Amino acid sequence: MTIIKFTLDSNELQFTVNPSYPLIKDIEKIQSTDRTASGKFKAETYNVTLRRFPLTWTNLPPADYSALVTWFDSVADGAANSFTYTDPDNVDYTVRIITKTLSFSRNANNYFSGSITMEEQ
Amino acid sequence: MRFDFPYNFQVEKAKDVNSPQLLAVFHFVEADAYLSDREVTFDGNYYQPLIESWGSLENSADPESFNTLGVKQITLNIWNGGDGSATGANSFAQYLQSEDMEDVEVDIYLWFTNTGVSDAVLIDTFVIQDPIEAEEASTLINLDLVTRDYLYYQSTVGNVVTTDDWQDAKPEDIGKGIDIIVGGPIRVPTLCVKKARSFTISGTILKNSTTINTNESLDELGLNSAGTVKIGSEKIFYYDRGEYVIYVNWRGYEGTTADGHDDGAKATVVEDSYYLVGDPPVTAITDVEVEGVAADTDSYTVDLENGLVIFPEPPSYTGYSTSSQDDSVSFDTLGNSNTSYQGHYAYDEDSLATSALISENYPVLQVYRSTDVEELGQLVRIFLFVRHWASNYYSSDYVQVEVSGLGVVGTLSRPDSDDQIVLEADVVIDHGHEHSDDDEHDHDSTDAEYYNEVGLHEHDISTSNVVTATLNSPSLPYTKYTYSISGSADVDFEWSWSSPGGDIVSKTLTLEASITGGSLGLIRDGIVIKTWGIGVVNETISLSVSPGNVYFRFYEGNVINGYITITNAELNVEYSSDATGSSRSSVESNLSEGLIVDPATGTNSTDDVQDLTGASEIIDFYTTESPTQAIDEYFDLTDYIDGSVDVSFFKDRTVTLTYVGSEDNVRVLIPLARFEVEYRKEQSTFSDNVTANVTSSISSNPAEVLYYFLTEKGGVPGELVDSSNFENAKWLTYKAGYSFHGIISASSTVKEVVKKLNLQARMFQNWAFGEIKFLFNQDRGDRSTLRDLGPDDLQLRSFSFSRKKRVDIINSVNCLYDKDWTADSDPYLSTFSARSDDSILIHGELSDDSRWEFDLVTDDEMAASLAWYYLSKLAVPTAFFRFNTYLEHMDIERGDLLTVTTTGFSNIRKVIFDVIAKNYNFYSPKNNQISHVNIVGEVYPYSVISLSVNDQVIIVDTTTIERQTSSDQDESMFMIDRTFFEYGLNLKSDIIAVSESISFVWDASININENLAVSELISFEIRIFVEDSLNVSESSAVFSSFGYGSGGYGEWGYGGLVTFGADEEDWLYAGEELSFAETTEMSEDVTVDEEILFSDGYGGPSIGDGYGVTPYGA
Repeated sequence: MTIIKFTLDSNELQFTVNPSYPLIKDIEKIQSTDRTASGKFKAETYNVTLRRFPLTWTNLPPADYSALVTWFDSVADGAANSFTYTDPDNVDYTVRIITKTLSFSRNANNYFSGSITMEEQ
Repeated sequence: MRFDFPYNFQVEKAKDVNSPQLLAVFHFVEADAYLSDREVTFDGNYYQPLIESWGSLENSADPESFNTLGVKQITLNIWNGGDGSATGANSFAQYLQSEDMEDVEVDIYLWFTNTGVSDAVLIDTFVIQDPIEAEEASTLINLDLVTRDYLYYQSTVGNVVTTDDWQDAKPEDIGKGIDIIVGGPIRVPTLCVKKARSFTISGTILKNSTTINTNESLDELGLNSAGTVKIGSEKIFYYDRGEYVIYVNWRGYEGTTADGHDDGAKATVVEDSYYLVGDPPVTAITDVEVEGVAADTDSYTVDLENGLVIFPEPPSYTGYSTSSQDDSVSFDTLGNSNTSYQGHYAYDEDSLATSALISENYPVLQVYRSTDVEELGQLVRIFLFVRHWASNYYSSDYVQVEVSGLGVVGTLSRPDSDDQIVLEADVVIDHGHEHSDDDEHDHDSTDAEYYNEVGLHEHDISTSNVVTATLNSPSLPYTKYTYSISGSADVDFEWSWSSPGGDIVSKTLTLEASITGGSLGLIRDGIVIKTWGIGVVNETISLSVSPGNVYFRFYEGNVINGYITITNAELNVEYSSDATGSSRSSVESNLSEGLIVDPATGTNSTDDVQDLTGASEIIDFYTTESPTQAIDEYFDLTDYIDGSVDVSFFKDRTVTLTYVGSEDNVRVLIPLARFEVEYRKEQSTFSDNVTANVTSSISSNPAEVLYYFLTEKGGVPGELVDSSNFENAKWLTYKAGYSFHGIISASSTVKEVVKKLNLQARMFQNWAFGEIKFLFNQDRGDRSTLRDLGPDDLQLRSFSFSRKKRVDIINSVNCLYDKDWTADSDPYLSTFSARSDDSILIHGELSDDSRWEFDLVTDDEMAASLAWYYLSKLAVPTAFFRFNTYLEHMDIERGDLLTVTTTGFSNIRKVIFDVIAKNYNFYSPKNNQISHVNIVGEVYPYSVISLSVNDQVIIVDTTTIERQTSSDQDESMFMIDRTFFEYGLNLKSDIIAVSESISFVWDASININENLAVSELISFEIRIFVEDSLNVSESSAVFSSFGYGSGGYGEWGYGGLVTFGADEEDWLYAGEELSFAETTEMSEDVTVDEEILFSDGYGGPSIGDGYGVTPYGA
């Protein structure tokens, strides 16, 4: 188990903690379905698979949070720039942040909780 | 139906789960752009994922509308994120700036992603249309695309006459369209594209005039220095000319006749004139006519390549004048039956004062024309003219008028007493004359009263003709004083003259006196005839007595100091003419020719009256009879003549006037009889109204005509036409006997022409998959259904239907055809009407005659075929189906004949329908929308209107319903108008052994329930079709009986219905439990092997349900 990190060119955000469990990997197949008058199933598949990585922290250290804000705001520039996401299994994905609002809350311990979602490109 | 999809494509589209992908290629001038809704590299090209939505591909016009062309449209929503190029460096909107987006072609393909490149199918080719829209919020560009056929419909089909092409075209024809002829031969008007020059002559010319002045400048006209002109029918060769004159050396040139011509007559230069029959080339030009008169074939040539009729000299026609003229045809011979007195005077026009005479004794005047009559032209009316009068009026006898070949045409009008002559005359009884004594004068001899007023009149021959005498006693002046007068004092007068003798004509006495008292009296023969009182007297009075008996007397009265003074008293006496002697005072003139009383001698002088102004007229009066006035009488022979006649009508045609009767004994005199003719003169006239029978180089086959206009005029590439389909359409229209013969207006657009042609040939075009198909609307009976769509094929709950709008119903088709293209008005020569009495009974008569002007149709059978076809299509309120199916059925095309079976809402079974539109709702991953093929079908004559599938069905209007199974739906069923039910009885296989298939079609009414409300008439039949695959055991005849428990166990159930076979083979009896009527028509070729039992066994629900109804185990 490794700690996740973001890499874009020479920029790297190495978190100090992994997101909270459960770690989710969403996979969506883009398809349409229908029913005939007799009830028969009809479907079209468009050969598009969407992989999303929702990451949730409940105790993100302030430094990590600060680095994440910088990453979101400047490096990745929201969804503008894709980057490499190294997951806890040390597998790299090219992703893009699709969360429009970075909304983290700080608890009494001065740690931050919140989530972002990335979509594989 | 599309049959040529790639195999892999067909396999994929038929799958319940597949993976379609649409690909769009924009053919910009700069470069092609490749777009899709997801990234893909196809056929070496990278398709950028810029399509946000493909939208729907659907008809731009309402497919239910009549005679639509089927142009389709689609709207694409495109992300402005790239340019579709391999690099995708720029925004797609760049193209909006860099070039005109309109009419840029766009190919849209459908491809299943796990197939090869060659397995993609072109959905269609489109062009970009206005408006091009972009949204700030979504950064989307919205592009409307229409199928490419839209472009082909926009241009006009013909050219116009221009001065660039035809420098000498007739001014009125410049700018006119050069129409396009199809089929033929048909008579067409022409355009004058090269007109012979002309001018008018100034001043009348004689037939031998050699100098002809003109009103127009010949320099401006560009007239050659020598040449030939034509005036009327005369050709004139001239050898020189000035600006306003030509000098002639040959009148009546080239065999024509020299003639005089009026001022202003038109002279036309003898040179070529071109008349364009239509858009060239053509294959035949014949029967040229000028102003409707056949032109001599030697007078023109034709140029088929250029579609021209060429006249070497200006076209003219010999025709009849528009206005008529009058002339007469005289007789010249007496007929053999003539018995009239001096009959030849009836036609001797030099002796109009004399007459032929017919009477009881000379009863027949018969005359005829024995010589030829000079040609007159077109005879309009013919009259027999007879001028006649009679020696007296008559009322019993009559004169009959007969014309050979025509019979009796009437009788002469009989004069009555009012027609007798009344003589009134002024007779000169005096003459102007002069007297030798310088007393020359004329009398007014026009004054009828002159004689009575003047009578013998006096001519003065001296200045004095009155003898004057004065009183000689007492002498004058004479004064008598009153003082010396006492009482009356008479004074006598004595006159101092001598009478000349003879008669005294007049006597006057003049008295001048002054009376101051008393009075003066004039006394004649002792009687006072006049007195004068106090005052001055100056008076002349006439005397009628001899002056010798007259004297004055003064009366004193009682007046004192009065007196009388007489200053003058004069007596003038005029004597008569027979007086003699120098004292004669006057003479009278006795008027008599050459004689006058000589006042000197009292004798007449022979030379006194001279120089009479004229001789006396001798007037003879026949006073023994009272002749009638002459009557001019016309007998209109036109009504007696069938058809038209020429002048030969007159030759040897006898006219017989017969005196009939013996009562009146009058003589009828005929100074003149002849034929009077109203005719139109034959004349030669120039005209540009040239028509010709033309056969087009364009085929008359409707499919080929459509092909021509779409490819040649619309610009459709020939390779886009589905050739096999086109050949089939040609064959079908040929087989139907359809052909086009007519004119297409040059100003029409391809769209207008195609719609016109489609209408008149029952055709339409189907644009799909980048190709065009030509289709002929065959009759339903000539077509086969191509596919049955069932519940597996239809999208759930996508089915809907609507009935045709009443406004679209037409049950009376009145078509016009066989157009006369040269007519100015009412050009259609034939009509045909087709009516649907059934529809009219229900909906009233509905027609739209403006639709049915079949100007390209000349054949009666074709017109009738079209009328009946459109009537069958439009007279019934057809229904329109709409439902969605899937890409599997994207091979369906407009015009296909399909059947559809549904469940649920409509509950219809294999209803046949025409596909009138096929649209697409393309997939949308964003909305999770699967691709659908939207079918619009028209259903007739079967229409289903079902509002509920359960136990309540309401059928509205004329409806035919197909049911696969009998059901309980007759409960609460409301039928309006006519209704037909077809029930297919779904028999159980365990009741009847059916080897293959059996179809029972029952037109049936059975057990009408209480809830069934039927407004009018219901007729039911039962027909059972037994197909040849039915094998029935042993006996075809089935009897039934109620069982009484006899027989073997279960064989004769008590109270149950038992059916059993019988010997009869040609009828079938079903038991009472069948709630249907029971006759059956069996076909003769049914093979019966064993026994057929109509039952379903114990407790079976269909036929019997009582115990033992069916033998146990049967």
